[in-house]
Amino acid sequence: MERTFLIFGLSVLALVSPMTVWWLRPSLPWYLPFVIWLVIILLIPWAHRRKENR
Amino acid sequence: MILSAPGLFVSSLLYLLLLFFIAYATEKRWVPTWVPRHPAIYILSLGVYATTWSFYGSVGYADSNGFMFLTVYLGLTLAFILTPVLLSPILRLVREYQLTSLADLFAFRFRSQAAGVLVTIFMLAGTLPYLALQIKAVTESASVLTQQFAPQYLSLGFCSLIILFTILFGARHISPREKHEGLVVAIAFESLVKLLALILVAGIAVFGIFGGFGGLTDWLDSHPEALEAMTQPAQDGPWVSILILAFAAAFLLPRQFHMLFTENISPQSLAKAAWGFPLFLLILNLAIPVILWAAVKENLGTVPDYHVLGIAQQTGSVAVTIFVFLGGVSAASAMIIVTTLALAGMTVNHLLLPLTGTPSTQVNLYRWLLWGRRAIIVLLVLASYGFFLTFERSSHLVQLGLISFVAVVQFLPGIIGTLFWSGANRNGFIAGLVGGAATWFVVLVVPLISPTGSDASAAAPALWELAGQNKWTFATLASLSINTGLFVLLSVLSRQSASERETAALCVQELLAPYRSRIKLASSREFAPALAGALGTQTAEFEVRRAQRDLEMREEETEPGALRRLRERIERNLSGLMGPHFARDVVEMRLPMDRDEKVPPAEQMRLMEDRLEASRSRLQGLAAQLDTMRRYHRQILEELPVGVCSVSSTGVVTTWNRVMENLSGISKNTALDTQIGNLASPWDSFLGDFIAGGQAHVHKQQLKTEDGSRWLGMYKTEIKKPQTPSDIEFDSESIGTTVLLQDLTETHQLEDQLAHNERLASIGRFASGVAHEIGNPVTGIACLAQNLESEISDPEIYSDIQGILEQTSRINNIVQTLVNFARRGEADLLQKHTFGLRLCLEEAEELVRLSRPGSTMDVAIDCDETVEVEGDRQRLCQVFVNILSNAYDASDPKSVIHILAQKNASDVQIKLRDYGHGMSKEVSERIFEPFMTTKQPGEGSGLGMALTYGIIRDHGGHIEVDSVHGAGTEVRIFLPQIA
Repeated sequence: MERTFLIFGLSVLALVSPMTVWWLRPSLPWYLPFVIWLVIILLIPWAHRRKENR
Repeated sequence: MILSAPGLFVSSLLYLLLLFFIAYATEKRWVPTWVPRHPAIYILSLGVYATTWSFYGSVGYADSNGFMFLTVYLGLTLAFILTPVLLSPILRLVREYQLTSLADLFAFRFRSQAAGVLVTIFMLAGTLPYLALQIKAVTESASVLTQQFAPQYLSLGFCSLIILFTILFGARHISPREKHEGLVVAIAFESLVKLLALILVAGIAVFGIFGGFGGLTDWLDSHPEALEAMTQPAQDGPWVSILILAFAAAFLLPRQFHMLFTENISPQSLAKAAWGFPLFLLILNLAIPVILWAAVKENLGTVPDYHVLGIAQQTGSVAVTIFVFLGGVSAASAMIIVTTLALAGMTVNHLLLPLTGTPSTQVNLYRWLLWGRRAIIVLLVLASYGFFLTFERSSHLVQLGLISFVAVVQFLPGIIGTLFWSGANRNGFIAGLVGGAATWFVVLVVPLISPTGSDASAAAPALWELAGQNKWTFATLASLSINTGLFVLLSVLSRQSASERETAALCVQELLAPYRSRIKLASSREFAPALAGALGTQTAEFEVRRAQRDLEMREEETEPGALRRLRERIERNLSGLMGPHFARDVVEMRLPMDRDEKVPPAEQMRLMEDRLEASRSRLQGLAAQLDTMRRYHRQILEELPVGVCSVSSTGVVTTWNRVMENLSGISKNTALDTQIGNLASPWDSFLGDFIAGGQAHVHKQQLKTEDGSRWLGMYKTEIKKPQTPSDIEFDSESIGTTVLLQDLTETHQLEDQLAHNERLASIGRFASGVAHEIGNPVTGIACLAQNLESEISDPEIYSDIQGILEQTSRINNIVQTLVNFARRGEADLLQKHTFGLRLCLEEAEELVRLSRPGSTMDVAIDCDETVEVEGDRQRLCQVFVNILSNAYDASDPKSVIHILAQKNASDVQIKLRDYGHGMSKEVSERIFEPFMTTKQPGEGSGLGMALTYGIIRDHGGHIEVDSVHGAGTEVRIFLPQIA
């Protein structure tokens, strides 16, 4: 479960905290929000690997 | 480019007919069965989340609120990250307790019909306008393309086809265990159409309007205000509150709950969907900003909500425009179909049944429920259509969608309480939900339905303005905090009922006190008549049979534990049909428990084990260590190389390990909870007699089973109730007996073989001694007779002397054979070499044939010339001669003898089969003993087979004989492979 909560916490940090102000700046590439979203998605299978649950 | 309304209608009609075909083909198994079960189909079917709001509305939302449109999908991603702790437990509950909707789940958890009714009403109120919105979106999109007011028949025809599809493919089965695979595949197909349509429009935008990605980048560089418009509103808007709304909507919206949990075929698919579905949404949303900027660049005249259609129209291609229009039809139809289905199930279970009660027992319950659900589907779609007709005020698509989301988020405290807080109770849940719903209604719905300037609508905006918050932030936070506050407060202040405590523990996977009562009925045969009073005879019989099949239980079961499990299974299955509340009512009333009769502790062990297994992942600290120790001890019992069987004081089997399963052929599932006397024969009496008897240990006892006979060593010990160190000096109550069984069959066979060998060896020693003692005097007699022969001329006496010499010669032959027999154990004397078996067999056959002139016996030798053995060729030839001689003697002269020799993996096998008179069992058991013969005196010494046995043993092989009196004999010789 630790990995799940770790990724959830990091995602909350990236998507909910004032961090959003940083990556929502117009000077950055327009696709940056999608890149951040993609990175989170790619981390989900790692977070859900069952090894940690044993 | 302007399209005609009939053309759009026909396109929609053809598209929906294609959907019918896909669903029908899936139901008829014209597509491979793995297709509907594939995780990709499950992931695509979850795409029902993306309604016309996503397909059309997202561009409009991005136009007014920039990247804020992403929050609706990022919130969902956050929920899917928590799949193992949030979604999987819900799926477990839904599957295990046959729940079909969120209302079922809450009614089950809080043991409250009121909770189910309230959830259903609120869900209907929150969702019906959203359904109407889908019809509106399809009609409006048609208006955009036809540039005139869309005709009524378009929306009415659309609704009619949706009703037909939903009834035909969504309400085929009444039980949640039977999935609607056709529906799932059709919804997945719709998601694919949506995705492809948006990608197509995005492609047109990038390559057709911007001239490629470079053009897009250049345009953005030269129009920084476009990027500013995307980022600035997102920084200022209700980012967090919409994330929370989307987080809840991801799994609490009726359509999401239905596709995620109710129609889920495999829990493994949910694990894949945890990343697959957010990825699907990411691809879908990548198109949105591009489409928006293309529309801005081209200065399209369409409303931003329909820029998607505007760009498609811009191409001038009818095919592209219709395909994109069908993408919108897909988004709307999938949402209406799945939402209507989910709401219909809830409405039947939590509104219709409480109003009408269960139908008369004369009515077929299944048909009643199925047609009830279908009637509700018709009513719901018609009600949505009515909403659509009367919905005059033009609202943005997203606004109505968000109102629906705020309604759904009111279930978030309840679901968190269900999964993680066993102290939550129905009073808290109902109060919280009523409080949250009232806030939602006042803040969001009243302004929507009231004429502008009324008191209520004027008051609400003032509230969020006073709070200095955005409308959505205020509505979300205010309703959620009132809801949560009331939920916690009343849960803490009021008490739970016993049944609520039980389901609360089941939901949070806490350990429960095991059942202490027995069911009042004595046999499973009494279940159907008992239930018939509530369900009707046919339904009751079917449900009992179905539950017995699920549990792999025999037709008549009398064990209390088994009856209790049957009762539980019936309740779960009925819950899938008519909701958990009615299912419990029926079972409580018709299959009551006897609270006075207590279940002995040993019988509760299996239930405790099951519950501990289910709760394992939640155990922590000392409890987890104790559980690890329990599993370790259980594993020791399971892996012990002896059979372990425990029986409670009332004679019920409580332990049955793996060796017991192998020994008895009775599975653990069958044996556990069964009375020892009801085990399959002969184990019932074998174990029962030993437990009842006075002996604590039986060294070796024979057990005759269908497969033959077994020899078992048995031990038993009485199990006392566990004591604490302080009361160890007192005798405690006995709670059962444990029996250990050791399989001694192999040892017994080895002992038999050893005794047999020892007997043969002693006979051999005896024979050798006798031969020595007889040989000397016989030689003397022969010498004297030869002397006399030379001295006597009287022909009569000479003839007698000849007779003496013949008889002494015969005695000498016998003695020589005995000596050979006695010396055959000296394996060193063997002259081993490798030789072809076939030639050896042919030589033996020739020798036997020569000794029997005139014999017409047919000897068929089936032996490949490549088969070779290593040994003393002469002795092995003697073996075959001995066996063939016996076969000749036993067979009819015109009979046949078959010899088959072949090389196996580990040895060379030679079978010699005759069809003669055979031997009795008694004779064949003694055939290898010396002097054992069935021939007349003088025809055989009885040493041939004994010698044969010895030679084969000296070669490291073994020999077997099967004989049936009157049918023939088969001798099998096994010789080791060449090293």
